[in-house]
Amino acid sequence: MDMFDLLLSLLRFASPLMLVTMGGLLSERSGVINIALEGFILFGAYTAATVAFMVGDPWVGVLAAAGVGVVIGALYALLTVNFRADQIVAGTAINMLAWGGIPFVCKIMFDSTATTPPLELASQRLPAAMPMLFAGIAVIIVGVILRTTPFGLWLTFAGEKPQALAAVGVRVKRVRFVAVSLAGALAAIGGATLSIALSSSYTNGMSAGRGFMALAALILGKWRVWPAAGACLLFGLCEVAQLKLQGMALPGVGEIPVQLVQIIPYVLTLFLLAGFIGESKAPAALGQA
Amino acid sequence: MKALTTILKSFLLAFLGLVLGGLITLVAGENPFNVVRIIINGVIGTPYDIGLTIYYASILICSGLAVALPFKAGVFNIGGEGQIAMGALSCALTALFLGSVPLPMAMIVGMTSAFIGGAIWGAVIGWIRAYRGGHEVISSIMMNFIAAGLTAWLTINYFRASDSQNPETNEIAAVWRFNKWEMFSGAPVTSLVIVCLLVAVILWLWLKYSAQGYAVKAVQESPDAAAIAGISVSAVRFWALACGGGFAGLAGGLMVLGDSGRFRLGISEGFGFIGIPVALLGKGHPLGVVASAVLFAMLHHGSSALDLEATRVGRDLAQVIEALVMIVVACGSVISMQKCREWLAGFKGKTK
Repeated sequence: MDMFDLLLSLLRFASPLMLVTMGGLLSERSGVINIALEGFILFGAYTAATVAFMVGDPWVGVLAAAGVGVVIGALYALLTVNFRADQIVAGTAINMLAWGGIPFVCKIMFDSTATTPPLELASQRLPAAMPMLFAGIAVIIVGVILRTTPFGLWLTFAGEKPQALAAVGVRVKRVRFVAVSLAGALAAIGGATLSIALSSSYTNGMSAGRGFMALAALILGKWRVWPAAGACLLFGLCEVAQLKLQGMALPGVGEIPVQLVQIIPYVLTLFLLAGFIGESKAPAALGQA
Repeated sequence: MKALTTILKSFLLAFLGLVLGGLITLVAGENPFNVVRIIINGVIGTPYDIGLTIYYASILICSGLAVALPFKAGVFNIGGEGQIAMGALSCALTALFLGSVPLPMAMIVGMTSAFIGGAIWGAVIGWIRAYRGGHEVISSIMMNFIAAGLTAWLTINYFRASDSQNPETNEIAAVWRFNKWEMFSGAPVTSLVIVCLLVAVILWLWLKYSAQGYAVKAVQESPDAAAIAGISVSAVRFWALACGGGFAGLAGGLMVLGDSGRFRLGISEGFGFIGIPVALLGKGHPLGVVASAVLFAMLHHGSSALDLEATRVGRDLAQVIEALVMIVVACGSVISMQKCREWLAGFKGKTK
C-alpha cells in the first residue's frame, strides 16, 4: 500500500464530490439552498450511462448528462425561484423524483429497475483520470467566475444582499435561475463520472449521499471555493481510511472502528454548525429566495 | 373549520398529483385505469394486504408527525431516517438488556425507550437550531449519516446476532413483542396501531387546547410577535424538534416490537423521508397526517403489486407520485387562488 496508490483512491472518491460541491456552491452563494444535489447526481449518472451505451461515445454521454442536469436544475429553479416553493420541500421532491423516476424509466428502457446495461468496451467509458481533470477544471472555473466576472459578483450579491442587486437593475431571479441551472449541470457531470468513468453502469443509489456530503463540504469550506474543495479531500481521506483500515488493529486501542472513522466529517460539520470550532457564516439571504 | 378546508384543499391538489402520475403511466404505455385497479386490488385484495397497508400507515403516522410538529413550530425536520434507526436500536437494546420483564411493563418500556432514542437524536438538532443558530436541515442530514455510522458500528461490533449472517441484533424476548391480530393472516398489525392513532389524537388536542400548543401556534404565525408576548421561541423550537425525533423513534419501536423483533441495519427503508410528503399533505395537522399517512401507505403497498401484474411500470411509480404530490402541494400552497385570478385577469386584459 504505497502513498501514490492511497492518493489516487482518495482523488477518485473526492473528484465527483468536488464537482457536486462546486455546483452546490454556485447555487447556495446565489441564495438557494440545494438539497436537490443528490437527485441531480443520479439523473446525471443515469443519463451518461444510458447515452454512452446507446451511442457508444462517453463524451456524448457527459454532454447529455450536463444537458439533463441543466433541465432538472432549471426545474428546481422554476419551483423555488419563480414559484417560491419551499426550498427544502422542493429539493426533497426532486430527490424523490430521482429515486423513483429513474428506476421507472430504466424499467421501460432496459427492463431492469436497478441498473443500466454494462459498458463493456473501454471506448464506451471515460478514462479513470477524467474525473480528476473535470474536478480540477470545475474548481478553477467556478473560482474564476466568482472572482473576476460580473456574473460572479451578481451571484454573490444575490446571496448576500439581493435588494442591492435589484437596485442597480439586475434581475435577482434571473441570476439565481442561471446559478441553480449551472449547479444542475455540474452535479450531473459529477454523477456522470460515477457511472461511466469510475464504474461501468448506473446502479440505484450510486450517489451514496454525495449530494448531502457536498452540503457538509460547503459548510466546512465556509462557502468558499478552495476551502470547499479542501473539505472534499477530507471526505475522500476519511473514506479511504475507512477502506484501508478495515480489520487493522492499533496498539492500545484495539481494532479501529472504521464506521466511526467514516462519520468524522459529519461530526466535524455538526460541531461547526454548533459553533464549537469557529464560525461558518452562510450567505445572508440563503433560503429566502 | 379553517384547518379542515386547508387540508381538503391540499388533498385536492394531491389528486392533481395522482392524475399527473396517471398521465405518466399512460406515456409509459400502460392503461392508467388498469394501474389504478391493480393498486387498489393490491391494497384490499387479501386480508394480509389490508393488514400490511395498516402497518405501513401506522409507521407513516409516526414519521409524518415527526415532520409535522416541528413544521408547526416553523422548523424543518428531515432527520426522520436517522431518528427511526436510533429509536429502533434503543428499543431493541433495552429489550435485550432487560431480558424478561412483566408484560405491561415491557410494552411501555419498549415504546418509551424507542421514543427517547429518537428524541435524543432530534434534541441535538433542536439544540443546535434553537440555541446555537445552526440550520436544522443540514444538521438533520448530518445526524442521519452519524446514526447510520453509529448503528453500524454498534451492531456489527457489539450486538451482532450469533445465529445470523446479516448485520442484526439478537431477537428480543417474546414478552416484548406485540401479538399480531389474527384477522390479517400474519400481517404485522398489533395494538401498536392504536397507540399511533392515540399519539396523533393526543397531539392534536394538546396543540389545540394547551398553553404550550398555543405557544407553538404563535411561533409558527410570527416568531417576533411570539417573542414579544413572552414566549421563548428557542424553547418551543427545541422541544418541537426533540419530540419530533421522538415520534420518528416510535416508528422504529413499531418496527422492532410489532414486526421484526430485532434491530437490523437499514431497518427504516426510507420511511423517514416519506414522512415529509405525509406531513406536507396533512398541512402539519395531526389528523391531516393520519389521513395522508393512510393515502401514502395505500400507494406504497398497492404499487408493489405492479411489479408482478403490470409489464411496463413497477413499484417505483409510488415514489414518482409522491414526488409529484410534493411538487404540486408545495407550489399550490404558494400560488393561491387569489393569485391565479389576478394572473387570469391580467391575461384577459392583455388579449383585449
